Amino acid sequence: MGHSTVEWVYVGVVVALLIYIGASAWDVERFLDHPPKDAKVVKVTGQQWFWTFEHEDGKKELGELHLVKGVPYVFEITSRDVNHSFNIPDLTVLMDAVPGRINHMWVMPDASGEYLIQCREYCGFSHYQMRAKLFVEEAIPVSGETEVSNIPVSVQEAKPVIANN
Amino acid sequence: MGIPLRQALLVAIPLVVMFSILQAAFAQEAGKVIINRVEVWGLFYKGMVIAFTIGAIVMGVIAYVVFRFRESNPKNASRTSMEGRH
Ligand SMILES: [Cu+2]
Repeated sequence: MGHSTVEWVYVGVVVALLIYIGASAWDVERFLDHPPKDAKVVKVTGQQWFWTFEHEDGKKELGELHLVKGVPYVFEITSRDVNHSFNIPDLTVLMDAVPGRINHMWVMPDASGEYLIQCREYCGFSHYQMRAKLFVEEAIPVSGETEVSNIPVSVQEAKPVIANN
Repeated sequence: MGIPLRQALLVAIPLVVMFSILQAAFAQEAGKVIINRVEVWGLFYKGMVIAFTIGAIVMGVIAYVVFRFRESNPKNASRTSMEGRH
């Protein structure tokens, strides 16, 4: 086996690994780009120096966001003044909040608890304390109701599954 | 200029066609419920394993080359005899 054989094997292996990781990244990004159809919309607005949230039912929140475990949410993220960035480190959510533009990011919280929301784009004097709290609550069926049909499919399963169509 | 139009088109057209077909094919599948955190970190770990594997191979090759071609290696003391090679 000559030198060139070893070199070509090496080049081939590296190229194959790069293609593999590139395809994996593309695959993951495809899913991150397309929210499930039953996802609920939450409008997220950043401004110096706090976050406000608006739910589908019109409920508004300031500095706190309450979500339900196992429900997919689409964040419609924008800013009132300068660039901010909406970050929930524990849920790997990170998306710029840009004035005059609505950026989308979706997530399905899979564990209840309290999480940090933090601005991740320097936006002025109080950027460092431009935080909010995310509360992920357990889904509780409406009392007296035996059916759980009003709860999204994703919650009914122990493990999240594909919700096709 | 550099590349003739025909050759450029030969490359560009299949690329555009392939890309749009792939896009349409994969768009069908999108909308799946995934756990963001698991997928993103999984990708990150995959990337790290690959990066460190390639890094280890490169470092191993460098270590071998440095050791094999060191000045004190007896194998490097004399020139290769070319006699009868041509
Ligand atoms: Cu900021």
